[in-house]
Amino acid sequence: MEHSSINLGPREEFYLDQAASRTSKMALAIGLVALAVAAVLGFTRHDSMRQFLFGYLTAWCFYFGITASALFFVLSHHLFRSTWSVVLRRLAEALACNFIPLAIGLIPILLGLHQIYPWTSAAYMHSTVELRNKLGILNEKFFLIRCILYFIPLIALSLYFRRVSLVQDQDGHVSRLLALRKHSGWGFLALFWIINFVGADFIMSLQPKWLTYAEPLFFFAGAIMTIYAVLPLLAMWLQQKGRLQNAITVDHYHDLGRWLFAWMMFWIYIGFAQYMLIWYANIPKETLFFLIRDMGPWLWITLALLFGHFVIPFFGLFSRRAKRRKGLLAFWCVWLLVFAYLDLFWQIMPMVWVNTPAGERALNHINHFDPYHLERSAGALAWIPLSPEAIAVNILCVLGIGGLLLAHTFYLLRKESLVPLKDPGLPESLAFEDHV
Amino acid sequence: MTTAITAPIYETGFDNTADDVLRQPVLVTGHATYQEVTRKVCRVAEAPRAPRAWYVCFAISLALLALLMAMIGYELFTGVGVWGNNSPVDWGFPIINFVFWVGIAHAGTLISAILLLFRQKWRTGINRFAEATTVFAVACAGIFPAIHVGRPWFEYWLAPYPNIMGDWPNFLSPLLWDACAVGTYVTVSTLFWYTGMVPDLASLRDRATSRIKHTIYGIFSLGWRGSARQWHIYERANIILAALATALVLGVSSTVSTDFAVSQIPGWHETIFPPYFTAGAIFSGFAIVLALAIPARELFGLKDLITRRHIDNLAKLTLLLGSMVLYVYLMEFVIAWYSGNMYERFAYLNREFGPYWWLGWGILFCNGVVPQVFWFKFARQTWWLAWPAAVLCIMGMWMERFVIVVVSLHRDFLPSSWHMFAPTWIDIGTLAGSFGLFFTLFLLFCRYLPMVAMSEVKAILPQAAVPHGGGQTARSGAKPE
Repeated sequence: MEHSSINLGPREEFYLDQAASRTSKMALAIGLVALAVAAVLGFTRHDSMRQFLFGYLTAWCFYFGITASALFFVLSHHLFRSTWSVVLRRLAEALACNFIPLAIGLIPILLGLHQIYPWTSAAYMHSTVELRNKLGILNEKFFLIRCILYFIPLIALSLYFRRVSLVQDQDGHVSRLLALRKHSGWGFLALFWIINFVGADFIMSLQPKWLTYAEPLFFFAGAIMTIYAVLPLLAMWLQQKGRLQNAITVDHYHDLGRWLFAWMMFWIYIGFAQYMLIWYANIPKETLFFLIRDMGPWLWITLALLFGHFVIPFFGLFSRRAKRRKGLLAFWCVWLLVFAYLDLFWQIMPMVWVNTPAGERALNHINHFDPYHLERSAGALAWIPLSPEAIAVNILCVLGIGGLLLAHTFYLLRKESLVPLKDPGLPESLAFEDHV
Repeated sequence: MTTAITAPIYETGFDNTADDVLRQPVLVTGHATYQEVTRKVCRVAEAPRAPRAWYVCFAISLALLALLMAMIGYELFTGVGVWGNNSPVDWGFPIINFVFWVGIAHAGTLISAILLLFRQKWRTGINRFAEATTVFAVACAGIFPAIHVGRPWFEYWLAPYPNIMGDWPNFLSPLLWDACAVGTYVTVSTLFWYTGMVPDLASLRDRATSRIKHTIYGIFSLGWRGSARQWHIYERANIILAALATALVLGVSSTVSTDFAVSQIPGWHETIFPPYFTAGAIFSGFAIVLALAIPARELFGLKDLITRRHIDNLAKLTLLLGSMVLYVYLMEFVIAWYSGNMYERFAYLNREFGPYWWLGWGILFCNGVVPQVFWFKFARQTWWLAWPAAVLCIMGMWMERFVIVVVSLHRDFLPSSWHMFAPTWIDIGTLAGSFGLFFTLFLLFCRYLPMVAMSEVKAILPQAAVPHGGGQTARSGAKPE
């Protein structure tokens, strides 16, 4: 069965053409230069590239979150039979295909595994009974196998959903959409599991002595929020370039803003649950995580996260007006993206000093004798990931990986339509009005 | 220009489950005029006699309710020693039943509220049901902590009032959080249920044939006349209450989870408990709405309003939530293994291979495996598969609470204190009686109140749709009531 196409207006509104190629090349150049400078800066610190690798890991996790959330957007769109989001789907499909460069981007992390993860050290893993019990999970071979098991379905899903969507642009068969809907169910569950496991493997295992059940879900919550900040920004940029002027309306922005708000709430919900229960039970193997982040300069980052990722945007995004005014929404999208990155920075970067012999000594000290004065024993160690050079490396890694992924996204968008032209839900999406 | 739209007529039993990407799904079948919707819903309340099956069910429910009263009375006069609670299983059936009913209670409102916020039009067929299950389930839930305190006449001590005893509630206790959270939730969910019902109560009032019915429905319809202003206020109130209820559901089920999670006992102290309890609550809610909707649509002739698509969607959502619950079960095992901690590992090994192994595997089967049948359309569309599956899910959720409460407690850190738990006949009678209370209230609701939100169903009829461009729509001979 074929669906007749509708009159959408001038072609230029729906294709990026040269603009995509230009942006793609520029982003590629920025990405390569930024990564190269970050690597040089990391090398000059004479710390076996630890600062660079941690900065790289943080940026990688940040972009993994955006890419995974883009796939989440596509899958949930099909699973829940959404129509309002049809005009945004193609952008999310292109963003979701960044799993391929992200898989390639794993190479530095795998090469630097010994610098990043303490569980790669046999001596460390045999230092306690509990750590020894974890050897079945935390070992290099199994880690590598898990990475492969994560990325094969992720890449397959993202490629499949984009390819079928593009084929439908050509032949207009509704059977394509039905096929996408059919596979969205298991794909959705698989994606959910994989994001959780990535959170456990890449972030939670940085601190093998730490025990919590909610960390994988906490990573998931933080990650999924990002697509609802990226899509409005991308849509606004396209509209500034004269594309999708009438296709994406204030009502679409309003709904994206609502989802952004909802996921932000989910993040604080999981974060608060985890923090409160750990605080209440006060078990050393759990509180360790927060003690490290409640000392010295890290306390301010913790508070900044609480206010910046929740309290301030809660009031900022609450009103209908904030979600319907493009400028204001753009501000909150950028704001929340910055804090989504800071969230990962807060989770990952303290390990730069914790996972060192000096850091271990300081932690052993607080565990047994002086739990409330970690700052005294850790001293200047906690400042290491916050030095100006370290921050510069982190920013350059964000620019570097971001540039490369943006280049890839625009490379994919250079020839294809910016909306799924023959999706039967397109007319409804174009005419979408918010009545709630 | 006025455009006349003739609503298509879909016969009763029409298969509206097909995934048609070109058209909006049909959500009401039969001769779906405005009058017909009113007639179909109101006739249940207006009929002089209910179906015979209703009387049979009501008699059984009343008998169970009487049993509940007898069990509570016996416990109050004799003391809490009549239960099977022991040391170390200090929390037995009362807390299991409390958490079970709270789970059911949390789901109904959430289903209705969250589907409203997500603009899911099919909710109109089942939302009243779901909200009613909330109100009745919370009534059942409230009984258990009330009797579990042993001396319920001192429950006012929970309130922070000035007193000469120098006694003040412990605000750091999750049990007090429970009282506050559940109290707030009862208020909001009852308001949400009742507010949504006001226009429909007015319809029953206007159609009442006896003075007494007219007076009673008139009082509860709060002078509703259906003016534009009233509708405006009604719509706003509904949205605000839906938003409040959604937040409350997350908050309250999470609060209930803290009763366990703030402790240091493996199997209880898990930072994933708040979302776990929320997912479990919604899951059991979908299952109970599914289990009630399947017979109710047959019994009360509502197959055109609670269509096959509604059942299909409910089954799909049960599958989704069941998969979330399965995620938590498996994550518990993964993290316990990952922890390397002998106590954490033991707690989960004991769950599956200890003396209550059949319950450990039972919850995996009922809540994890059984919902997976809903991947298949055949299972979603065949009542003798869908209904037992939904009932198994409900049973599974009760067993899950048993596993959390009893199995985690009966073997704690000190092997010398290990002790098995066995419920007494008072425990079992009270549990059975709570079902009596729930079904008595539910059957009364079905008999005397509008089971389906008529005013909301009318808004999703094809003839109610306003096409883009603001064209007027009307169907000859069909005026909104």
